[in-house]
Amino acid sequence: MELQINDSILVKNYIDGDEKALETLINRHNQRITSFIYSKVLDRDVAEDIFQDTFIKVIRTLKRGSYSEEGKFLPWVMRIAHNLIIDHFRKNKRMPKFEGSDDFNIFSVIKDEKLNIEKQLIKDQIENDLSLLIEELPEDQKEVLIMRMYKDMSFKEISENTGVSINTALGRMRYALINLRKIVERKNIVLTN
Amino acid sequence: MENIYSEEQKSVKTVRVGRKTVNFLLAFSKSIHVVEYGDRQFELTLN
Repeated sequence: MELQINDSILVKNYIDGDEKALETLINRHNQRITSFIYSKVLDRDVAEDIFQDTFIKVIRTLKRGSYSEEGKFLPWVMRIAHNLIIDHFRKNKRMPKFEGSDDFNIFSVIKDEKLNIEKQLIKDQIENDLSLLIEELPEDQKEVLIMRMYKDMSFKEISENTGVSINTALGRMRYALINLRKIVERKNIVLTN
Repeated sequence: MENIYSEEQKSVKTVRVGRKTVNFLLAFSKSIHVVEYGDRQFELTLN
């Protein structure tokens, strides 16, 4: 019958320089600790990494003499593993991983909302052309269109500012847009890219 | 005796880390030395 040496004796032997004691401790608790980690992370590779990090912490603490033996080696190691599992999930929450496949690329779904330099140039050009076209509108229509589109005023505010009724302001806006379209057609301008 | 156990018992997967990881940890343990200087501790890792 094989006599099993107590964990606390193995820990003491290891601190005293017996490297073999560490191997016994790792082998003795390997399955229990790894299964515990695996039950939380459900990934063999991650479980192996966390197990490794756990024992690196154990080794450093024991070598530094910071471990106080209270006959609770396994619960102590499990607590370290538990904290590392929490760290793992925190890290993953901060940096969510997405693995695409051959037939699906995440960048086809999400993109940078900022315009690239070419699109920005086209947009500036269109806005510039449009402001020139607006200049050709009759003064009353131009005034309403600028207040509505550029100053973001409501038709109530426009009517108060121009001294006309809301219906008249609406009508001027309508004619401004109709006339703008006519000017665009007449000058054969393409405003969209 | 009547079977009182559920047919589908909750299965707990038991896993172990491989020999490679254990060997790495043993090598790491052998390589690390703590040196004390006054009230400070320094970790030395020897290759």
